[in-house]
Amino acid sequence: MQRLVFRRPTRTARTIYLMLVPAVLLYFVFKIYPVLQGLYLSLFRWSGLSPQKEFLGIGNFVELSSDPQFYLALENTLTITGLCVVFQLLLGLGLAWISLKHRLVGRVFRSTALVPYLTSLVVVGTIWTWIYDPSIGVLNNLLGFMNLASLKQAWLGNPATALFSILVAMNWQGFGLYVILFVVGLQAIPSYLYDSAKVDGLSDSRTIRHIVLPMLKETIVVGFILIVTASFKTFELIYIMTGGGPAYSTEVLASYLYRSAFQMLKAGYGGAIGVVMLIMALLITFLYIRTIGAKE
Amino acid sequence: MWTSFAGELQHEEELSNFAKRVNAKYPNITLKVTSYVGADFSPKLTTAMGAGAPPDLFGSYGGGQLKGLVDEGQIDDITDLLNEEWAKAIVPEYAKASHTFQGRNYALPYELNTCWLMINKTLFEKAGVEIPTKPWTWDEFMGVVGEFKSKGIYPLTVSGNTPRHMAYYLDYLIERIGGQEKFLNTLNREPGNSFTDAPFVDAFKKFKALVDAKAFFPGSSAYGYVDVIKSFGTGEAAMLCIYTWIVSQTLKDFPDVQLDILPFPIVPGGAGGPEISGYTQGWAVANKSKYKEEARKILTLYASPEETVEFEKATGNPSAFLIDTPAGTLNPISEKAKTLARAATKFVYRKETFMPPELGGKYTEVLSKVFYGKMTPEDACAELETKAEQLKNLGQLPM
Repeated sequence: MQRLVFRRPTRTARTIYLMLVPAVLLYFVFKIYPVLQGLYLSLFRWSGLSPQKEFLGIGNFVELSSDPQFYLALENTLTITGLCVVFQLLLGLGLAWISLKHRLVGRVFRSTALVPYLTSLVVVGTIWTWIYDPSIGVLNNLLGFMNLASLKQAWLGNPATALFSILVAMNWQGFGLYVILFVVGLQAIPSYLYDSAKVDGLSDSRTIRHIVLPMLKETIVVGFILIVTASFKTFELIYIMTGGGPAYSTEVLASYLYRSAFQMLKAGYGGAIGVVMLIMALLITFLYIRTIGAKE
Repeated sequence: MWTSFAGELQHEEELSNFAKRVNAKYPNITLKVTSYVGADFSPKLTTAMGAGAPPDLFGSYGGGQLKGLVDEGQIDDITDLLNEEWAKAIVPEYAKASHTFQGRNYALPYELNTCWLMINKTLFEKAGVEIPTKPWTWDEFMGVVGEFKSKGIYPLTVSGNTPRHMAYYLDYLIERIGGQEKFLNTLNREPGNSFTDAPFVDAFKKFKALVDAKAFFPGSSAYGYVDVIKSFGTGEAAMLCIYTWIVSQTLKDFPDVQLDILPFPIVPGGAGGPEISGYTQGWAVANKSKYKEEARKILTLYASPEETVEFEKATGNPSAFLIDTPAGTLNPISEKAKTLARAATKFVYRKETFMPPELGGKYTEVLSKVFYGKMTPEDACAELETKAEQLKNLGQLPM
């Protein structure tokens, strides 16, 4: 029979654990505790003000299941997440590849690619709101200049175009990070692999498919997780550019959570929306990592 | 002191100067003013109160939003202060109404906002539309909409991304058609009253008729809270249905606009009269404040004749106090609004803030969907009724 042996931590290990305590403590207080508190509150009817809470069990989740505005917000969140994953990963990889192939332009591009990402979301939202302004916006004026006046419209005031318009701003703001991420990933691929691909006469597309993508798997997973988590939490650009409108057609889970908890004083219901967001983001990330792992 | 005036520079400046005067009069009191933009104000306040750290004094729109806080024991009852002789002489009952619940007062009303059709007289002249001397009927108003359209001028602009600005039309229409009593009975779930009743459906239909007539400047569907001032000021449309807080800012930013105000159209045969829609902004004191006595001193000072003059001069908006200010204190448009409003005995309710927050939220949500053609008036009313019934079952209605 095998015996479990507990070894005393060494002095070095003890020092390491001790040094980790502040970080773990901060992580618990500012990350884990709010999540647990959110889970707890989602089980109550609570205004967010009162010391009184009424226990509902899964009542808030039952209400969510028949709330059309929740489904619209969920659909918008998933649409944004899906399209951001596709656009930002493709743009990131494509532009990283091009910037490495054309070194001079690439260097300039790489040094500017991060600027939108580093710009405050409030500023980004305001810039794009002006671009889309129906009267003085650059986009409508450009369309007029190109004799395409029939296409001029209130981009953020039309339910058919508002979400798409926000998506453009979102991807413009976000893609730079993934360019840098993929540049680093591509540079980490040993150069002899590119050389042998060249010797074997592989085209760019086949090199990407058979060498680059398999070697970039970890980078893609990291990028995927970052985009999914950022997209699921998306709030600022929506809030600034449309406020969830027109007719709440650009409402996402985070903005619906905000509206429910702080404007309609349904903090418990808002908590339930937060729980759904957490579960879905974890689920998508877990499934994706599992799929990648299975292929390995 | 927390306010919802961030960005409204005249209000911010007035309060900043008031804070200095408080400190000068009461050296042991320091008044610190923090301003948030309108949309952020309630969430910030709710969070602060939930966390047990509310501001000592804060702005109140009254109605359901304030009542929600009163019900949670968050607001100090200042009935005794408003029953003092000086207060009884200058605070009219209609101004107190939206801050009063079960006969108890929870805020000192200080600013009188009334809702009008702001008009650009130059565009009226250009379109050959005569400025009426008495309120239009709804049919006359729709006729005027057609006249403007035929001259290539958009009759109206609105803030599409701030649904409460659309609600100003509906606030009026509901009471013009059904009367205030019908609205209150329906809100308070009196038997035989429903949001699906004809007056409500008809009000939504009349609003939709404006949308269908393409009365609103097309770009206004994308406009936010402040964009609409620019839209009206730059002459994108001839009229804007909005409260008087916009007047001073418009005159300052667009001095060339020939501005005037008209009463909202009446609906002949409706149960409501030509009342004005209005509300008072008030100052409330947090129940958990450690400085209630100091807060009351500040309120008393704020209601003094000297401060009333300072307020009107700085903000260009009428004070709610029955204090006569020297001629020329207010701009002529705000003065006209003040004179007309003072004759009122009651106001048409600003329903989004008057109703409980959840129902107020639903009200603007369904209206916005009607505006963008995503919902019929009948469905909008049915959703309101469902929400009202839910709130009745939760004990939030009657108010």
